[in-house]
Parts: sequence; structure tokens; C-alpha cells
Amino acid sequence: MKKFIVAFSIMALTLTQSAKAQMYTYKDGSVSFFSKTAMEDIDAHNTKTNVLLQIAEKKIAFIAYNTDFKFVSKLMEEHYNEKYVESEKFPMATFLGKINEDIDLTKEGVYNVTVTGNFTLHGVVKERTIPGTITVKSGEINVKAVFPVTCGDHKIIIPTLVVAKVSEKVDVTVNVNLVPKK
Amino acid sequence: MKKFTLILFTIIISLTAFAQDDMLSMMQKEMPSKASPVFATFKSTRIVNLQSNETMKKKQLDFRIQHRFSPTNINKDNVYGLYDMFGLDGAKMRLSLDYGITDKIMVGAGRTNGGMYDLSVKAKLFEQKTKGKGTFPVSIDYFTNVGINTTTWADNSRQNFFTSRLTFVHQLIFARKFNEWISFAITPTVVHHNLVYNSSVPNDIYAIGVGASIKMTRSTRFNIEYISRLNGRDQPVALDGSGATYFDSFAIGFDIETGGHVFQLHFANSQGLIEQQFITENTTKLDFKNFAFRLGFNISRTFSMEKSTVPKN
Repeated sequence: MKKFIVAFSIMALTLTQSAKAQMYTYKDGSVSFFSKTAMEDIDAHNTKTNVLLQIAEKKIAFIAYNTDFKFVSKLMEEHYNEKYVESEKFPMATFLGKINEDIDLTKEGVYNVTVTGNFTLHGVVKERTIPGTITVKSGEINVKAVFPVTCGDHKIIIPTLVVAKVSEKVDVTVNVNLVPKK
Repeated sequence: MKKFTLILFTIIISLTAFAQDDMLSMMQKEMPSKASPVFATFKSTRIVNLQSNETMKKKQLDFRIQHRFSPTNINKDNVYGLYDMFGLDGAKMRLSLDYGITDKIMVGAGRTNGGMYDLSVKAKLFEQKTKGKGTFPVSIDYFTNVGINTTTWADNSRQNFFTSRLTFVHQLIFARKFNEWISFAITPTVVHHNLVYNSSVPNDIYAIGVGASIKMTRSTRFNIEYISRLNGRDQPVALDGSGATYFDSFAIGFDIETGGHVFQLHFANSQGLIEQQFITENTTKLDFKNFAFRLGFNISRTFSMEKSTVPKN
């Protein structure tokens, strides 16, 4: 009996350890968004997004600090944080979702997938199904996705005075490289 | 023995399970907690006349046009203000450029009509920080300028020095953003005139300014300020030798910000647009009863001198 317990505990613990090895985190790449109007283009990039991908459970999570989105115009950056996403109240934008397709991410290849989950911005949660491409190569995983975000969906109000400069629909681009979590 | 095995089994299984929310909270625990510097304490680098703690960020250029009219006379003789267009006919104007050489240091140059040039530097010494390590309750800035009066000498027969044309201002700006609705600033100041009329007129005038900004909507704010001189109040003779009396400066204003522009509309009793003029050379008494106020407006536009170096995917 004792032998069984010991053997079982060791096996269970190694299972926990290997489950940990099946997690991938952010190495490099960016999450960015782009708004285009006839009057102005708004372009921001975040290269400090925290990403976690669980291979076995096929779950992926993103956390991005709003203040880490960098703009070429610092005034735009200040307005983004002060007026639009109100970073003091809502410091982070997050996404937590599950990959729908039955794929094995331990094998190398290019996978076209859809991820369903909750996208939270400006304190408002929206369930989204986002198409993307996951590439597994040489021990690294690349996640690419492009999806639109409607400001009104997340209670982000564009003042009437600048309606011609800020688009209601903003395109978000994800292009991150992940490596196994140590 | 069986019970023990069952308990151990359950414990081990629960250790390997992962609840959905745990994933995000686990990630958040690993992310460094940031002490975020407070942004947008004021909408502009000036409250109305008074310097605020805001500076231009690196490579951002602020082009500013300031106006202050002569006192509005709403009476019959002046066609209820329309004859001189609410004081437009006696307007004073300043053009200036302010540039951020770093995120914390701004340099500026301006010219007011009447031959006054000014060069200034504003530096952020401390920034107000909330949440996380290193919180700091106030923003502290240092502002200094030199005013150069280039008008012709009154008496060319005596020996005149270039340095007599110069006036200097040193100011500390203590500002605090209490919440998204209200910000407050206190500005102890010293104004130094190289040349004064005679020895009874002090070269150094000390003053304290107080200013507040109240948010109305996301794009508009209401501002109010008052600068009180601490010495030199009962001078028998003014800086230019005349019998003029100087008064403290008070202003109320309204900011409208539209993307890259800030429009400021205000009423003030003083006409000066740089510190040496509105703090120590204001000859308009503060008179609410007779509405002795000057209409003024500022327009500022921010340009980014940054080349687009944002990485493209």
C-alpha cells in the first residue's frame, strides 16, 4: 500500500511538472491597434503584453497595460489614457479564450484556428470569437490575429469635436512569439 | 488506509486542476506593479496665466498665440462693448514656441507686442505618482525665464546698460491632481528687475500664486487663479517712475481641447502675458462690481517632431 502511495504521488507530481512545461509565455512581438480616418491615422504598439498559452487545455490569455501602448505623438498617448480608455480606472486590457479546433500544438505546423473568449476593455467584457494563425516551429509558437474593436461596444466615447479624427471601428493586430515558460 | 489514499488522491488531483480565472490572476501576480505617474493634471502648460506643472513631452512642439484685450466696457458710450469690440482694439498679444527637449524639460521662446522677448525653461523635478511602489503626493516643477525689453532707451544721453533691459522670474510649481475632476497648484515666485526707477522700488518681488482646474467634460475644463504679491505692495513710485499703483492678478478661464488644439477663453484683470508683466506690472484693479475685466483667449497647437519609428509588423 505504502509503495503504491509513494509511486502514485511521484507520478502525480511529475504530471504537474509536465503540465507546467506545456505553458508558453511572451518572448517578443507586439499587440497594436490602428484607427484610420480621412483626417488622421492613429497607430499604437504595445511590446510588453503578458501572454500565457496552455497547450493541453488549449487556453490563451493576454494582459496588456493600457499605458504600455506607445504612440508616435505623445499627446495622442496622453489623450488615449486620459480621455478614451481612462487608464487610471481601467489599467489593463485583457483577453482569455479557448481554441475551438481540435489541434495538437506539441507538433510543428501552421494552424488556422478560431479562439472564443472574453475580451475586456475599458471595464466592459465582450465575448468574441477571433480567427487567427498559430505557427509552431523550432520550439517557439507564433500567434497572429487581426480583429476589429468597436469603441461603442466598450463604452469608449469619442467626443463630437474629434469624430472626424478618431474612427469608431479600430483594427487590433496581434503578432507575438511565445517560448516555453520556465 | 483506504481513507488516507482517497484524501491524498483528491489533494493531488486538485493541485493539477486549473480554474479559468486563476490563469489571469496568476499572470497578474507575475506582472510588475507599476507606480503610474499621474497624467493630465492640467490640460495645458498654463492654467490661465500661471504656469501649470505640465510640460511638452520629448520632441513635441507647442505653438501658442495669447491675447488679452483692454477692459470690457459694457456701457452706452461704448455701444455696450461693440465700439471697441469688447476691448479688442487695445489687445496685447504674445506668440510663443515651447519644445520638449526631454520628457521632463521644456524650453520656450516668445515675443509679446511692445518689444518684450522671453526665453524660458520649465523642468519637472518630481512627478505625482499613485498606486504601486514609490507613490508621491505632488508634482513639483521649476520654471525660470528671462524677459528682454527691446524698446528704445528713454534717455540716450546717459549711459545705458543692456542688462538693464532684463528681468528674471524663478518659480516653483507644486501641483496635485486630486481626482479626474479637480487639480490644484501653488506657485511661489520671485520676479527680479535688473533696473528699477530708484532705490525705494524693490528689485525683487516675491509672490504666491494659487490655481485650480475643474473638469467639466472630457474635453473641457474650468480654470481659476490668483497671484498675490508678498512685498512691494505700497510702492510710492512704479517701476517706470510714474505714480501708477500695481495690483494682484486674478483670472478665470475655460479650456476646450480638440485633439491637437487647446482653445482657452478667459477673463482677467491683468494684461500681461508673461510672469514679470502680469505679476508685477498689472495696473488694473480687481473690481468685480464694475466688471473691470479683460477678455482674453489663447490658442495652442501641438506638433510632433518625432519621426515615425514605431515598429511595423
